Amino acid sequence: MTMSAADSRHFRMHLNLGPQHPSTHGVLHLALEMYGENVLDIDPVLGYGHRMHEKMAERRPWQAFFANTPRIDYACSLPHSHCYALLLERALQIEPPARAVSLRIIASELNRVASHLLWVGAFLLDLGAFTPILYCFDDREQAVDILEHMTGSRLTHAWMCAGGVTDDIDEETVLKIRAFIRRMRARFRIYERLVTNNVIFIMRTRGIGVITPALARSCGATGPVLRASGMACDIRKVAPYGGYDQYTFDVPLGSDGDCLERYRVRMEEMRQSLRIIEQALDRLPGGPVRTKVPRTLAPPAGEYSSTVEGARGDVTYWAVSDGSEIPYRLKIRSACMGNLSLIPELCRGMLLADLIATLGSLDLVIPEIDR
Amino acid sequence: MDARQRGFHLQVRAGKDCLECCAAILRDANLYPVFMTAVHAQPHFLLHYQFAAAEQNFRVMLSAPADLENRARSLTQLFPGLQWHEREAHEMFGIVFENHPDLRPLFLCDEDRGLHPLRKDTGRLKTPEQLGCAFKPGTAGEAS
Amino acid sequence: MEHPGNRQSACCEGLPVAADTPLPQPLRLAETILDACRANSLWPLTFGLSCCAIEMMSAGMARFDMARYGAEVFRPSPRQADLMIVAGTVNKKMAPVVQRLYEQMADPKWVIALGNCAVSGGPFAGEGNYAVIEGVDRLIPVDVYVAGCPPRPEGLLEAIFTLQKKITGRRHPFPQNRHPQGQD
Repeated sequence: MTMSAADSRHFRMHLNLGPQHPSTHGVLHLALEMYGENVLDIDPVLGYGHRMHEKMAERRPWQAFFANTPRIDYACSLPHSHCYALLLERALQIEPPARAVSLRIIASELNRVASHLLWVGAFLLDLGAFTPILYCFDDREQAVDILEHMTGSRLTHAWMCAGGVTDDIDEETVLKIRAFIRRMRARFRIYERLVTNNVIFIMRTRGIGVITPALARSCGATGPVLRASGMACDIRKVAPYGGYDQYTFDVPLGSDGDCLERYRVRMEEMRQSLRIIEQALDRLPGGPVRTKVPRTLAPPAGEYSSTVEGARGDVTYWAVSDGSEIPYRLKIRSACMGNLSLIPELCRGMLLADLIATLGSLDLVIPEIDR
Repeated sequence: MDARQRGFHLQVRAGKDCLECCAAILRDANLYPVFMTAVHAQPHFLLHYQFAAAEQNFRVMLSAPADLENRARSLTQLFPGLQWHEREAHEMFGIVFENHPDLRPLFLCDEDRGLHPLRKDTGRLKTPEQLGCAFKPGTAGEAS
Repeated sequence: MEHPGNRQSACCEGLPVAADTPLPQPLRLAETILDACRANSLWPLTFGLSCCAIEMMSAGMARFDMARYGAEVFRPSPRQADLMIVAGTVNKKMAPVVQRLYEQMADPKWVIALGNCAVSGGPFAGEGNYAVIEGVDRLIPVDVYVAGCPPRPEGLLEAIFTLQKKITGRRHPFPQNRHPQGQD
């Protein structure tokens, strides 16, 4: 269709998506150049959730940062705490007790299930489906109740520490977790009928936002985003940490790299998480849950790094110690940052509605990017 | 250096002129960029990059000093994923990356331009030796 | 600066009467009815900033069910909302956005500061703070503060009740919302 330059000018629009918008999952601001319904260019504007975590780390003792780690990615906070605990334990050569290692895995996987449930609900809400989020949150409340029993908090779990975890679980909690696993396995059938086989959902997600492995890798995307494109990169398998090499589980892989594939990968990941929790409960050893560590922690001078598989991807903490009890530098590498940096390249020419679907499928928590 | 203690397998300390060719070698080895950050040390900033293999357990730290005017070469031509990391390092530390396509602030608001919050006060600065990352030209540290 | 949203009965807004002159009886009756209607159908703005947003979402879902108290209809547009629940940390970059959204809301409007960050900056306040606004009440007037990091969804429900009491003088403007066993 040919159009005069004067006419085409009228179809161009600068549209601000966010920072207050129901579909930006926090405070993301996308400055869009639109041509009608198509996106010409995207400029993500970040920083609306910047909370100075890295600067705070430089002012307080090493162990005080455990108050910050749950608040970085609050939807799946235990892997962040786990990563930081591993970093300190490696640097100081502390071994947590076997029971603590198992409890950490149980809690992290429960947190992963809760996070993916939250994602499924929010993603479907972005696509316009109001019902699934109610079911997802119902299931999430069961998981969050158990986490509250274990860690003392519904959302920002300050439970892990260098040397183990701060509190043990009782037999009642173990029974609750087993009941949750049974319940959740039955609930997946509801999601299959309500969501996975829903023709509107499939039309909104199949072939939308296709991420090639090359694009994902060059931008540093990780997690379900990378796995849906076909790359078998799960830190729990590739570089096992914290006891994960003892457990049998599959890493779901996609092939098409579209939104539907990312949904399928996350649904399957929830099933695999339940499998891991079950194995961990079956083998849960007795004993203490915390190794005695010195009152002040002072890793020897040098650089330390640790990586875990968060719900959104590869979470890496890197620290520089000058030998004192206060970190010299702490760098938090958030999983979402690599995932979001795909967006400008990926979404050029896309319809706005497809941009919303793609953005939702990346599972972003903006305060994790902004730190 | 013990990889289990440190969390990475190879540590490469490059001079500021060798940074790009080291990064090109890592790109040809199919590693993906994990992060880029900086550390405020005396007398110059230290730049640190981490790369990882996607399907194998292999992590590399690449470190280089910035020059005394706080300038460094950008690696965005080799790794587009480092674009935002370098923008963050620029606004947090004030390091200028040459050849960066878009060196605007990423997180801080306009009135905080020039704030460079992650810089340290002079009294708290340490040297690379005190931080355990001494730079000796022509050497690379490898994990056991 | 006086903000109309803070006044007990916003129906007085704009009337050419002195502050201490009592309203005539029919207007007082209309005001009471309108206040009860407003309190029982607060429309919150979707304004989740960080962690507390998840608890706000939980409060709107089936288990805690804010819909029982009329506050279920989250509106994305400030033009259609009358309650701004500031759920999360406000930082310097976000501050003008918060102010603009507040100004775009039509009167009568109310603000709940949900969580420690919105109340006072939370865990981020203190020495070396260069980005976080220590309390959203430095930007906009706040009607109800909810402490917690994050507060439980019941905390947000309690904030709704407190706000209803502020608007109408009673915790539950319509008695059928009261808990059946008398726990208020």
